[in-house]
Amino acid sequence: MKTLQKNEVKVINAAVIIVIVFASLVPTGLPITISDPTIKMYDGLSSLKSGEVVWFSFDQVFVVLPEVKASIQAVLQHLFMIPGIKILITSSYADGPAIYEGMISVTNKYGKVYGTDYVFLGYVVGNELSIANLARDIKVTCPVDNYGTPLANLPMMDTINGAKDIARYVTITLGPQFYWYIRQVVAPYQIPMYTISVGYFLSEIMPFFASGQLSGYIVGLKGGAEYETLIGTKGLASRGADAMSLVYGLLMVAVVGVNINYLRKHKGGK
Amino acid sequence: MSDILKRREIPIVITAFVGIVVILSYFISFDPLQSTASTFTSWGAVLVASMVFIGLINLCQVHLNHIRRREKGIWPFSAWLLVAMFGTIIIGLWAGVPWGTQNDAWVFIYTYINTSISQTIFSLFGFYVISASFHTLRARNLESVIFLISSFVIFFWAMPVGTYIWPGFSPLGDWFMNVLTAGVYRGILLGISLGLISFGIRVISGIERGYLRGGK
Repeated sequence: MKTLQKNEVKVINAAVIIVIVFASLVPTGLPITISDPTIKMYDGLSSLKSGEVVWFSFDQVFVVLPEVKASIQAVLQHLFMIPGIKILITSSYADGPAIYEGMISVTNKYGKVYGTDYVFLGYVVGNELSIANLARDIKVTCPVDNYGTPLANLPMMDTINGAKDIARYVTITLGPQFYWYIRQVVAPYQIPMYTISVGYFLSEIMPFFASGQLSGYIVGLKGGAEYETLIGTKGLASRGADAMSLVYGLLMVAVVGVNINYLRKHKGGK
Repeated sequence: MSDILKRREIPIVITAFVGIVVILSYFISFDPLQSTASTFTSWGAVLVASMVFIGLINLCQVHLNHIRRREKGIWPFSAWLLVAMFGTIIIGLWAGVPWGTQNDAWVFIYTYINTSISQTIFSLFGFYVISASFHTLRARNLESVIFLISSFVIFFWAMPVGTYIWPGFSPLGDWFMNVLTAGVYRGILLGISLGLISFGIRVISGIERGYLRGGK
């Protein structure tokens, strides 16, 4: 017992690793509750009509990819499932193109054709300035796509000139770029914006959801699991959600145990 | 002539003019104004892109200094950083056309080295958070008991299976996040925004000159 108390953090870390490995190898299929922001995001994207354009921004870095990879795949898969819509993909982070290449082969299982149904403009340098320029005039800011093809040669881009031609905006945010899009896309053009975010950024995006500037969001692995449930698939996020629930439970049991021990030791002010 | 070009009023006037044009373009729908603002923001994007090279030069200066001075415990890591950085650049540029995301060597470096290392380092944060939670969530006094109870409510709210255990965790967690947390962040964001507006007005009006050789 004394050894356990002396090495409590090491024991907890070891237990967490065991729980994660167990949950990854043996799916427990724990139920997943779906939150309101996820439902709003799903409904908002599902209501897209044929011919409407979604601007999907791969503003992501590899560092936090494990947390949002499943969410990105689920949302992209959902967008590819919707018939007739067009998807314009950009990135204002240098890691974006590499992440896009890894995702597109996994999610495009519905026969969407590049150039007709979706286009990838690549990494557009300039941070907030590039977002403002793209929103104003895409063809002047980015005359060719990520592969060097002039936009004039891509049939999808015939009718898309700027943010005013966009019906929905989906971004992956983990920091300041969220505010860039609020300032340069949502505020001037009133485009409904949805975001895939990481857990530590949830507190910052909640005021925007409450005020209506953000129309819906999914956060982290849990958000990805919720979205996978809504689109009817069981992917990475659903498996990870089992591990997440078990780790949370383990942590709470450990904290309760430590507090019981602490109160027992300090009972009566001793 | 060189004395005229060295006058501080010139960059201040340029800053003020560009700032006012770009701000007005958001409020006034006038085509010449919009196209001028668009030109200025395009120039700005080019300058941002050029900053990458400035950063590269600065990085080399700093780390070459460490190597030259053989600073104990630092110079081997500086050398390794420069080798990795220039190795990636050289491999990316000379491994063959096409460059960028279509280049196999670049994809290999990004997928199997950069990704793996970045995600491994970030994953360590999870254990730091667990350790911090473990040490912090102790019922030492009334405030820590309140903190402990509210943390447990958020744990259950954040768990995928939490609201199945008791549906009440959902509205309770929503209240904590939408009222308490969002309220605090709203105040912080408003404060930051007002500060930024004030700073912008000072830069445009020439009062703030920190970008001009230390502001003298």
